[in-house]
Amino acid sequence: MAEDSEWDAWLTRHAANLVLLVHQRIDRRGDAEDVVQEAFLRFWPSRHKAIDPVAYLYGHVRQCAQDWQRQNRRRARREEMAAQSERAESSVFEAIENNERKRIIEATMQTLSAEQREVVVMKIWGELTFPQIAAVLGVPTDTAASRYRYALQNLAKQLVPEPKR
Amino acid sequence: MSNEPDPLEIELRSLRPAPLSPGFRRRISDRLRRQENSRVARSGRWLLVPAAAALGIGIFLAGYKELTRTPHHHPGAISKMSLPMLAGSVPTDVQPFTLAAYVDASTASADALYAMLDKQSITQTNTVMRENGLGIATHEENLK
Repeated sequence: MAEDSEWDAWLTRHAANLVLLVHQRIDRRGDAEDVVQEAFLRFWPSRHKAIDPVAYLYGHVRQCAQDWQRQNRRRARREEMAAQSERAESSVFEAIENNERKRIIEATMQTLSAEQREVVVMKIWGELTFPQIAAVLGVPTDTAASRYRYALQNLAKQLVPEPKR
Repeated sequence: MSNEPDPLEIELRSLRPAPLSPGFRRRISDRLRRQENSRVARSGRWLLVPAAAALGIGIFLAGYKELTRTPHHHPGAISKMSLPMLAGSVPTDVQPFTLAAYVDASTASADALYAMLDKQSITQTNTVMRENGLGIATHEENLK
């Protein structure tokens, strides 16, 4: 079925990035996947209505993550400790050759605010443009761009460049 | 902002988000199919609404036409019924009562008035039906 391959292509392109985006707000990976799943199911039938379906999808997912946070605030607090240890064990990124470097980057990312992390995820891994990011966040394009710039500056301050081999 | 790629950006891009859990796609696929099926079923139900409405209107119009149709259109459709028990007691040649007769009956007793009204009513009905070639046969006709 044509539609099957269509949504499959969408998932291939965006699902992992979206889970990464949600993971910036929701600690447990399983919960993050559930949120993306719900958001995608809501997005899919209405995607044709959007002027920019990609920005619309990211906005949908972000909104669902915020709703989830509100609904599960108590539970989230209760499970915070468990989730933190889970996050320490699992990784939000694929394994690479230099896993220690990856771990440092992940830890440094956690020092950024959630808003900055979201912008970084959307720009770097989602490959969204600043106008798209601005549409997702509901902020002016300049704000989205400056949020990204500050985030990179903060990361650069903390991350010593990897020595070239 | 410079257009040259930032080394940090390049390094970050080299990291890829962790792969999704194995059931993730299947779960979405199953639910999308269910969603699609229920959407089709829902739209099918919506199509039934105008069809049911059209059917209802059709039935109403047919019934209305039947109700308003005069016997002259199909004189042979209803045969003359034989109701001997009733017909035997029905007079066919009663003239309309005068106002004075009604006044007399009403002053005499309530029963007398009701009896007069019944008689008049049955006679008129029978006359109309007879004129239209249908209705109750007289006792004499039944004896034929």
